[in-house]
Amino acid sequence: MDEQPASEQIKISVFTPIIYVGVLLSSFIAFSIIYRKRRLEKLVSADTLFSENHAQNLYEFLKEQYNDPNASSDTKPHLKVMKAALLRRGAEAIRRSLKLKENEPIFNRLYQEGHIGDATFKSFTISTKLQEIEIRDIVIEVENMKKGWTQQFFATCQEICFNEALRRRLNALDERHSVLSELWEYTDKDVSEKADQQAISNTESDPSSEDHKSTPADASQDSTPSNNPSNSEKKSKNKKKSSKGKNK
Amino acid sequence: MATEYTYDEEGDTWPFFVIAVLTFILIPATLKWLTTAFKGNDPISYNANIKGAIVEDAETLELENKKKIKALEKRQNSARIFNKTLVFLILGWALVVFLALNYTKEADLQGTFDPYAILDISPSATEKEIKSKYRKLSLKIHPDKAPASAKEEMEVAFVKLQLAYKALTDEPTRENYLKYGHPDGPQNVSHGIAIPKFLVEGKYSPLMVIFYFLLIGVILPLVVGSWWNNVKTHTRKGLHVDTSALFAKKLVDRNPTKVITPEVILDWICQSNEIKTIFPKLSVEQLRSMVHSYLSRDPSPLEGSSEADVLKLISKIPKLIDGFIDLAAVFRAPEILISALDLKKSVVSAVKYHGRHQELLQLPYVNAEVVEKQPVRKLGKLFSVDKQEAGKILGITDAQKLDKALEIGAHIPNIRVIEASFKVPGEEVVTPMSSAHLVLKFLVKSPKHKSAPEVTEEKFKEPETIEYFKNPFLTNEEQPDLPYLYAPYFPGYVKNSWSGLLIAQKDNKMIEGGEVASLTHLDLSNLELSQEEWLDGGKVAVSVFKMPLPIPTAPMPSKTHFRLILKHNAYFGSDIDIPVELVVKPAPAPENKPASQNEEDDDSDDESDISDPEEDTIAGAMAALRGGNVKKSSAAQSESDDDEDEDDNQSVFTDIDTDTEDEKEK
Amino acid sequence: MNVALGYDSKSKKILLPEDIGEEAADLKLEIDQLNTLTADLIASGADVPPTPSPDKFNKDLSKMIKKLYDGGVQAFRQEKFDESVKQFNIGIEMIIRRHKFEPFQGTLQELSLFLMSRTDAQLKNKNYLKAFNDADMLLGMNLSTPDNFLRRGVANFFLGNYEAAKADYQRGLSFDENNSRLHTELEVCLDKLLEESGDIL
Repeated sequence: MDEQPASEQIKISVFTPIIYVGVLLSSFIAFSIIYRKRRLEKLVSADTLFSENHAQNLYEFLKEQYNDPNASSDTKPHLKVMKAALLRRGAEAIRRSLKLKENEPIFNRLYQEGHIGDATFKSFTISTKLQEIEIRDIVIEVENMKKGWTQQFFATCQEICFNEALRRRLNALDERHSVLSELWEYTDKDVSEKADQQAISNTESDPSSEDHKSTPADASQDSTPSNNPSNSEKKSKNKKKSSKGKNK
Repeated sequence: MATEYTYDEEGDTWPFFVIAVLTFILIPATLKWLTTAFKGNDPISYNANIKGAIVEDAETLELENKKKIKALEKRQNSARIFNKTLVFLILGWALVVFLALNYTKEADLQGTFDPYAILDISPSATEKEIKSKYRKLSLKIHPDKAPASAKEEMEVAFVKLQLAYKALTDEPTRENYLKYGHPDGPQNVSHGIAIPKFLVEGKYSPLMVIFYFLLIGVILPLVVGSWWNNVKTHTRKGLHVDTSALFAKKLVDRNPTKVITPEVILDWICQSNEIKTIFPKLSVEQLRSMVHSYLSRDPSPLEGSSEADVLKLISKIPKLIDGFIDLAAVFRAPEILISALDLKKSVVSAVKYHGRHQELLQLPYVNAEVVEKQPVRKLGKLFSVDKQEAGKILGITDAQKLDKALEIGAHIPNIRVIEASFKVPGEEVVTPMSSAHLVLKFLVKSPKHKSAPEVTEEKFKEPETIEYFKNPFLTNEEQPDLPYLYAPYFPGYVKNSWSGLLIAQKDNKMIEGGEVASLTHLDLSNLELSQEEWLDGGKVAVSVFKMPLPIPTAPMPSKTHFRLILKHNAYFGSDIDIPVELVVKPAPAPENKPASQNEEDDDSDDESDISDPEEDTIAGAMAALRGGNVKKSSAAQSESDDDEDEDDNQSVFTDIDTDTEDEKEK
Repeated sequence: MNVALGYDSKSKKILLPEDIGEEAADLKLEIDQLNTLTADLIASGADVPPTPSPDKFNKDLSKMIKKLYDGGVQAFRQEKFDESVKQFNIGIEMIIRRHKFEPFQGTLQELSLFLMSRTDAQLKNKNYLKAFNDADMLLGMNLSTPDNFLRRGVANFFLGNYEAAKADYQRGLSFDENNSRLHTELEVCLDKLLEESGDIL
């Protein structure tokens, strides 16, 4: 076997091991820094579940203006506006808390069964915590504005929350109408009539007689309601409906 | 002697090393490539063997998109075979062959010594045999007998023969052989490194260091890291983490005023990570318009994207919808699930989800404008009028095409429900606190069939063996596989299946803990029967589908209402939507009551002034369990399914509605 | 906030600049809600909104609303369905304009009566999609009475959604198994479904 003669010396510089260790360490450090930064970015961008909280932002904005000593009387919001903004903020907080509570078992199950990743579940828990903090902030603001109002404040906020939700639904009826109309390719008698009146310049007389005249007009349009309930059925239904009306 | 390392100076061992490494990688890679390359199955031939299947696709129907679809299929097929792996495999094997032929030298198996082979005997030979063989062979290969040219070889062989004989008979030699594998004692064993010396100790040694460094410090972490990343970036259900986060966020933060239509769900899907990575340059609106042009079967090309892109996008969508449905099922809102299933139908069938004529539009050759203007909407109606009328309805003038279209229409499976009920395995009635399952008995029916035959209970009998008792869902698997879909516009092959939802009528939500069930085995042979055979009933196949109930039944006798929805994954007109009742009856009372006690009970019942206990009270439950009389409470309050009562309603008005119910009655 | 908001000290309302686009729709909603709340607070005259309790319900408004309701019902009985719908519309508008901090229960009650009657009027008036929306809203507020299912079912029937109508009737029956109206309508619906597929029972 070949054996290295003991006398032969290999020249290596003193710095080689140092350089080696140095390169190794620096690459590890660089890697860990970059990795942590990326993870932090990811966590920060994995934002809360809800979209921006406008109510909170509005309140803060108004508060700034209110407390701004340089603002003229024109731009400074009235106290009532501040109260209203705070109430709005409270109502929004209640809405979000209710929604989070409602979705808590759902998110737990989603996470358990592997439907969502760690980041999403984390953002859910973060949202819940943020909401708690938000409520605490609101309480502080309430006390600042008027002492002892807190109890009543949240009761009022709850009412406001529900009432506003009701209003939102009512106001959305028109939009729902148009969406469903498009999906089912169906237009109501009223709407198709209005379109008729605009399309055809010569209109018929009073609205009540258009009951019968609308049927041929309907057929001429593209999006005809393709339901033909037999007339007899309709009449029998009408009879039932009117008797129902009397029960009121 | 200490083992020292020798290097491959002569250059005869390194080829073996390289060959070994290469084959180690190549053989599994080749196997894998072979299995994927030739996995392609032909749905037409598969379907041809299944009764009731539709054996048509874009090519057989000569549809206008046939070129596009065929081109895509060809591309997919060739991509399976002619890909980078193949190049790698070819190069690898070529290298192996090249090395084997040119660089390997005859391996000199000097080390091994097999006396049995030399003497040409079996390992279990007796001494007599050994001796006789030795004598014979020594006569044959004696060096004196050999010709001059082969003298040396003969000598070597003769020595070997003698050694072999000794190894088997002579004691010390034998010991040596057993210990060291060679009769002459321990041989000189050398270990070597199969790499030429110049690589390790010469001026190329830094190369080796760098190579190892790269391998262990760079390639290994990269491979492991990317594998780990892949695992981390996808949820257990197969969706990308970002996509599932998007879906979850949309579902949580959805506006209750907004109607969730298939359009909305399509919008969400087009924002998903999977689609975005494939089409990074396209906006969501562009993606949506691509889908719409596909749904309207619009042959004109879209600007900004090619036809291949459209098909690629379409092929990804059903899987994403499935992932979405899995997630949305946990939110338990049926409207969303139904919209998603409708979207999937539209995408697979290439029929738009607007309007109400989808049943007719899914057929080939139809004239969409004609169809949408007329009132007929269902396939069944087509078969109740004469052929000419049907042609007018569909807007098809060519008789052959009309025939084909009607043939396909006749093979769209409809479901005729016979019975839907809940059952507890092993019991006659559904008992409290038991685990029940839904049993759906039905007939597969073609739209051309009218009415339905009488089906006796006998046909539905299933064997009452232990396996069925333990796992009643075995019957789901025992029915034949469903064939591939008739989906000539869809890129790829999908099999028929139905998705099942079980919804509680009280709050219109899916049952807590419920999942979307899947019907993948069904006998479609009924579709081939004629109307007479259908009515006669002899050849009619009956079908059963079972779905589990994820929660135990109520603890007290009660009646709960459910709604079962089964939606097909592609065809329109194959769905059902039926109410199902779950009646929980008290466990059957023990039968052996002594006669005297019975009489006593009767007497006391007649005399007592106390009325029978109400159903909902504890006294009522006790009485029921004893088999006594209970007064039934009004139907509206009989739902005592505790789980459902505890559920929060999704709307904001949780604490209000119960009051207003009473108020309204005024 | 990157949107310049204006403030009008006279009306005490926050103003959104005109050129705001689609994306800020929720901001616009937020500001609308805030402005209405401010207006309510000012109109109530008190320092802070009163604790919600049933007696705080605005009586005068209630009287007016009741009058509108009665008017609508009367028009209904006289078969003047357009007129009836108009009355109900105005009534609902008034309900909307109630102060947000009035007790929700009362508002809900009033509104549900109006919606139910408006649904009926719209059905009679053949505006089936509008009727459907009203009935849908009632059911969305969890007023799951058999009558409301009947309403939505009938609306669905006339819209041509026969399967949905069937599902509605069946769901209504799950709450009240002996409801004769629902049974009859269900029969009609099933017949219609059979007829639509050219099938026989």
